[in-house]
Parts: sequence; structure tokens; C-alpha cells
Amino acid sequence: MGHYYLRRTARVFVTIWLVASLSFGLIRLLPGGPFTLLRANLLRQGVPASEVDARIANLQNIRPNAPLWEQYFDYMFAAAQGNLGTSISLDEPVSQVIAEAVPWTVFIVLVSTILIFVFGILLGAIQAYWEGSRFDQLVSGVSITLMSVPFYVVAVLALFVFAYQFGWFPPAGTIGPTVEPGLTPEFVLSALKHAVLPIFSYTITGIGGQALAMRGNSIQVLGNDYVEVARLRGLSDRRIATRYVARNAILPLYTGFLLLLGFRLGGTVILEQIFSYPGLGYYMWSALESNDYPLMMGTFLVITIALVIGVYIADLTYGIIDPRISRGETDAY
Amino acid sequence: MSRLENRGPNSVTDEPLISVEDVKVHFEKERSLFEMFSEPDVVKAVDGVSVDIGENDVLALVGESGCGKTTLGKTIIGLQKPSAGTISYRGRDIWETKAGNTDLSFADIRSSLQIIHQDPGSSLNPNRRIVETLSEPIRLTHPAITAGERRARIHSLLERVGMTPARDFASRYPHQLSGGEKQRVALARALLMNPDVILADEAISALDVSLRVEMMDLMLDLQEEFNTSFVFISHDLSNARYFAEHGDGRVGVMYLGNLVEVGPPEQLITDPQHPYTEVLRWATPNLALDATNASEPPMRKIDIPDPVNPPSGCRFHTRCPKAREACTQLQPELREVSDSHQVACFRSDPDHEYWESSELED
Repeated sequence: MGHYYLRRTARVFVTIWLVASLSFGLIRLLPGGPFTLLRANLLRQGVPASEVDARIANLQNIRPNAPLWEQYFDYMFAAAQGNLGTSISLDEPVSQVIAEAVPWTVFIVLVSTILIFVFGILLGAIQAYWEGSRFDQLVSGVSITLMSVPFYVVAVLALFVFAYQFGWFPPAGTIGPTVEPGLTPEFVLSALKHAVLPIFSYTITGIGGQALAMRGNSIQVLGNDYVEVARLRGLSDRRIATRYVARNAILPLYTGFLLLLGFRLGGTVILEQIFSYPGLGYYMWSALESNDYPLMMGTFLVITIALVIGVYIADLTYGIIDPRISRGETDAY
Repeated sequence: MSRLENRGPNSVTDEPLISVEDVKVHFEKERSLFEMFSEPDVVKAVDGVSVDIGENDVLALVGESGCGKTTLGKTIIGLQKPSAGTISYRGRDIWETKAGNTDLSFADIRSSLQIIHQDPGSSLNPNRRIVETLSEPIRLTHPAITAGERRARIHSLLERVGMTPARDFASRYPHQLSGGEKQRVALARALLMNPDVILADEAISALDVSLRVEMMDLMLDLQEEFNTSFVFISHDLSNARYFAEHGDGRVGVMYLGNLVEVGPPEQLITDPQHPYTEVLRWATPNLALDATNASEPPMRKIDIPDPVNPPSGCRFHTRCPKAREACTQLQPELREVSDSHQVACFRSDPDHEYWESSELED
């Protein structure tokens, strides 16, 4: 059993290493190469040509003239120490940019994913109990409609209606320009107000899928004989609904939850662009636009690591949540 | 209620535990948009069955798939509401009790009637250990008992149903048990409720053939110990016979929603009164006593009639080799041929007009 956890943990590091290598390689394959622009900029600023390479090496922990494998090792060692180089367009350490951006993105993604699950599970469970009713049909119809609308369409519409037409919510940013960061009521309120629209458009398009999944699972569990036996024993409906039906119906959704968390982190590239919300995705996009390779690699790495860790946690905890997943141990049969 | 009051003081003992009177269970098929205004199709799963189950009794129901034996079984333990007729527990109508119209609480009836399902894989909550599954009924029936006593009772019962070492089995999850072991746990769980009747709905059909007799013996042993009655549903006449014979009960043969013959197993098999029982006997290899005739089915047609549109008169007349004109018109009632042996066939009545009517021609 311990063996399994050890192997699984080792695999996380291997995956992250592969991802880091891949991002290093892919970016070097991009036309123009990573430092052409930087070199041009430095030259334009009047830095003597003899010093340019040294400046680049200083900024990015990379010696541009060294062989590729040396550049690779330099990059990997620096990345392992948390040094991702300096952003070309922002002129700040990449790790610092990411550290400032990550909390906002995590906030949006976490809140919207949790909302999706809470509402999706509630709706789906009620639908399953009232299978075939008016309510069930209505919710199913709405769910399918919302599922087929991409979140960025909702985002653009929400931005247009609620931010520009009604002016209820600010159209951009994470907090108001005059608000000082800190645990003050103004700060929390301003942060919430700025996050409402992104969270709304990210949530509303995801609930439907979860509701339908939960509905299907619940109906299947409700058909199991042990639910009937529990009723026969005279257990209260509430206890049956929570301990017998909900628990077994939610289980398959659990892995989906952590996976979704990771995938939605990637989706913020578009979402944060629409709402000019300076999170991880926002910086990734601006890095792409301005050929800011260090920032690009940094954000890409963080998003992938988040996904890898999400799957890792799901794998580790699934055995605790569902006894049938036996972590490779063999018993009976 | 009035029936209860009219009884003498001694009648309580011979009052049946469960009394089914002319019960009908009809299922309406859902209509599509285009059939909105037409009559709905009605499947008559159970159509007028009366049977009594006493204390410590065994009733083994047999019949082919779709004949309504499971529906009747579920009606007997109050899981399925009958469309017509009454089903009473110790003289109180179960569904009236549920509505709160009798002196008995529904919770009492509910816990007295338990079930063992066919599919052992689906009958236990996969997320609970065996000990948790089994403590639930004890907690309900004996709220005051301590956790230690509960554990001791569970262990002794697990040993009683042949699961040793009990301590090891108790801490397992259902997926770590074999089908037979799961079924034993389901039996233990049902017994812990101290039920009066257990419906064993094809409870041994999913088990390995070699385990069936063992499981039946176990159920019968515990029947005496726990003083429970069994309604044993099976599609295998030989299993039903074994169970009813050793449990000192009756076998009931069902055909398309009707109980066509009820009687002691030995009599029913050696001297079947209903032609359909004969068919079942023919279909069960080790019961076909005269093997020479085994190749010819004792019926005219193999096809089962559509339950939505059952044949008129006796429902078996479309397949019955002995059917006559009268069978297409009238439906025979269950009548006594000998002590506790009843059959629904005109041929049991020597004075019936059946004997005068002409034979059916295909």
C-alpha cells in the first residue's frame, strides 16, 4: 500500500519534469527563438553588442551562446529553485508576477468550481428523486442549453449587459483603483464585486453538465436493492438520501471535480482576457502577445503543475473515499 | 376491522399472518403523445390472487418469467400497492395502516416484512463495512444496546450463517465478499430485524449451483430458530420443491398473474392437477418422472401470450393440451381438491360443463 503512494508520488515529479522539458523545447522551436526580441530591444536601448549576451544571461539564467543542453540544465536547475527568469515585457521576476496573479485565478476557479458542484449536485439529486416530473424536464432542458453555450459567450454578454448597460459591476480589474490591499471590508467587497461576473459566467455554463451527471448517477443508485432494503428497515428518507444515495452518486463525480479544477485553470486564459482580470491566464495571454518567453514558460508550467497535482490528489484520496478502489492490494476473489 | 371483533377468543392462533385477498396489481403503460386519447395499455401483473401465509410457514412461488411472481411477492410484503383487493398483516390492512387508520403502527409492519434480493451485488451498500450494514437493524430494533453487545451479536450471527472468522468478515466491504457470502449477509441483515416474513426473491438464483442447497438449508435452519415465514420465489420447480418440502410448506404455481395451483410439494409434483404444473414438471429435467415422454412438451404452443392482452377465460387455454371450448369462455377459480391442495382448473370438478364442451382445434 505504501508502495503505491511512493510510486504515485514519484510519478508526479516525473510528469512535472517532462512538462518543464517540453515547455523548454517547444518554446525554443517557436520561430524567432526566445531571445531575438530581447536582444533587439537591448540593442535599441543602446546596450553595447558585446554586453548584450551577458545581460540576457544575467536576466534569464541562460547563456544564449551555450549549447542547447547546457541551456536546458541551466533552465531546469533555476526552475527547480523557483527562479523562472525575468519577464521581458514587465521587467519583473516571473515568479513574482505569477505569485501576484495566482491568488486571483485560484479564487475565481475554486469558487466557480465549488459553486458548480454544489448546485449541480443539488439540482441533479432533486431531479433524480422527481424523475420524469415537470421540474426534471425543465431543468434537463435548461442544463443542456447552458452546456452548449461556451462560457466566453456568456462572459461577453454578461460584461455587456451588467457592466456596460446597467453598470452594476466594474468591467475590469481585480479591485478598485483606490482600494488598498489588506483584510479590510472595502478590499473584500471590492474584490468580490470585481469577481462576480467572471465567476458567474464560469459557473452558469458548468452547472448543467454536473446536474445531468448527478441525475444519472442518482437514478442508478436509487435502483439498487440496498436502497429498497433501507426503506424496508424504516430508515428515514433523509438518512437514505444522504448516506445511501448521495454518497454513492457523488463518488464518481469526485475525480471529475479535481480534474475540472485543473482544466478550468487553463480556461482562464480566455476568461481573464475578457474581463481584463490580471490573473494567471491574463498574463499568459499578454506574454504570448509580446513574445515574453520567460513569462510564457512560467505560466504554462504553473497551470500544468496545478493539473498534475489535482489528478495526484484525486488518485491519493479516492481510495479513502471509495473503499472499492483498492490501491493495488488484492483481497478476496 | 369488523372481522377482528367478530372472532372468538381462540381464533387469534389460527389467524393467518399475512392474508392476501383477491389482490390485483395492474401497471399502466405510459402513453405517447399520439395515443393521448386512447385507452392506456394495462399489464395485469397480478390478477386476482388470494393466499394465506401462516406463522413459520413457507410458500414457494414458481412460474415462468413475467408471470407476476415477484410482483405478488412484493405485494405480500407491502412494497407494491395493489390496484384492487386487500392484503392484511395479522388482520390489519397494510395500506390502511400506512394511512394511519388502524391500531397498529406502520413501522411495526414495515420491520416485520423483509426481503432478500436476487442480485447479491446490488443488495449491500458498497460504502459500508459488513459490521456497519448489520448494526443498522440492531440499532433500530434495540436502541438501548451497547456497541460492544451489538458487535458480539453480529459476530455470533455471522458465525451462525457460516462466515468464519466472523471478526475478519465483519470488517470487510461488500466487494471483498463472494456472491454467496453477500447473500448470507443479506439474510443475516433481514433476520436481525426479527421479521415475521422474509421474501426471498430468487435469492439463490444468482448463486453457484453447488451453493444453492447449502443456502436453502441455512434459510430453513434459521427459519425455525428465528420463527420466520418465507415467501420463496424461484423459477426452478426443483428448488421450490426442495425448499417447500424441507420447510413443511406449500408450492404455488403462477401463470400470467393467476395462482393456478397451490399445494404440498410432494402432491403437486407427483400428481399435478393443473396442466401448467405438468409443463413445469416436464421442463425440470430431474422431475420428469417418465423420461420417455420428456421430448414432447405437454402443451400445444410454446409462445407466451401477451400479458397486455391476456387470453379470455382460462389464461392457459391457448397452450393447454386439454383445453376445451368452455375454457375460452370461463375463468376457473381456485378450488380444493384435497387437504390444502387447490387448483384452478375445470378438470378438477367432475360436474363442470367443461366435460360436455367440444375440444379446441388449432
